[in-house]
Amino acid sequence: MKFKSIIFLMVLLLFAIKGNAQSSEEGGYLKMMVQGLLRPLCRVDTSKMRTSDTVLYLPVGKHRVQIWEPTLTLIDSTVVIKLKDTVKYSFTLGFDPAWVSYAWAHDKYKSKRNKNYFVSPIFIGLTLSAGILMNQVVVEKQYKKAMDSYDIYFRSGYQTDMDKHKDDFEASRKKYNNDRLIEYGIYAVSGALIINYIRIIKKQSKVIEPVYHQDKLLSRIDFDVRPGLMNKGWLCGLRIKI
Amino acid sequence: MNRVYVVAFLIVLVFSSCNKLKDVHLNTNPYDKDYNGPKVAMINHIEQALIQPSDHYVKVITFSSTVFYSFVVVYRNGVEIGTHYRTAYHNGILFQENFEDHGLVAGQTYTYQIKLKYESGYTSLSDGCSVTIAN
Repeated sequence: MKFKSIIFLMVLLLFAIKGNAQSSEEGGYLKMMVQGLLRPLCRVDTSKMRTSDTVLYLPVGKHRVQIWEPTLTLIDSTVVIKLKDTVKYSFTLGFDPAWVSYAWAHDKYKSKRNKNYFVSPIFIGLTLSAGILMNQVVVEKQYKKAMDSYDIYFRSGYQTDMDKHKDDFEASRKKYNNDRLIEYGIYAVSGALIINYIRIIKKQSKVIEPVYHQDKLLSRIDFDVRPGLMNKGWLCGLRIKI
Repeated sequence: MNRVYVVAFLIVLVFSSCNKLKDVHLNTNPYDKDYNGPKVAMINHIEQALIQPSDHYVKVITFSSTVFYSFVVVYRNGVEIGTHYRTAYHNGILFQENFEDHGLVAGQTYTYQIKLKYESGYTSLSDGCSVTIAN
């Protein structure tokens, strides 16, 4: 009986504490939904957090809410908290116009750079391969044919045979010279493409790559992003302002 | 721009030197009527013999040749005196044919020349080689 009365007193005490606590809280809930890229940085008054969707318990009244994420624009807004109520706010972060223009310019730059670097070598490779193929297959075939005629001519003792193989040799030599002209024409095209490629590379090296920089708005950490040429991805830089 | 012209010139030079048939001419077969080279046969030595007092004769003609042949056509003082089928053995670069030319007069000097024959073709006449028949 004594034990039951102790339990009863403890339950009463707990309710009393709870009732007292609730009576001291004069606030409400803020349900915040943020649409950004990853987890935006949010500052409510002086508290900072990284979150996308969250529920906060705040004192009644106006509160300043700032939301930001790298490459996106800062949202600076005010929310009003009502007593024992839940207010819902939805924020959508838009892209920084500077970032949009940078991304467009960089995409254009990258597309042109890749075109400059990789299109000409493909044609150079193709023309050189065609030249080598022409040499090894067509020109060498005529050379071999001519030399076969020469060998037969040299080993012959009959004038008619010699005359015939002389004619064969001259015909093969004519074809050989014509094929060589075609081969050299192909090499000349390759040479022109190589010279043009050097010119393009020199010109490309003078083109300044677009860079994007955005000041860190809600923290001492500064964020910087630029394209990485080696790993074909993005390089992100973080700087802490002291 | 000048460098471009120099490189282009060098490329043309390299390619033009790559013409492998440039120096090949079909007048190198000594049996060809259009042959335009050095003489391919040269008499090196003529050996004379005497079997009977009245019969002096040339026994052996030794010559060098740079080409294959089937027959040797022998000339004495510019007149063809016979065709000898190839029986020679090859001693280094010398061929030795046992060609006999009888009825020669002692004390007389004779000039021998040869032509090589292969299939239906003949080389040009070799330079003359003189021999004075001993008594």
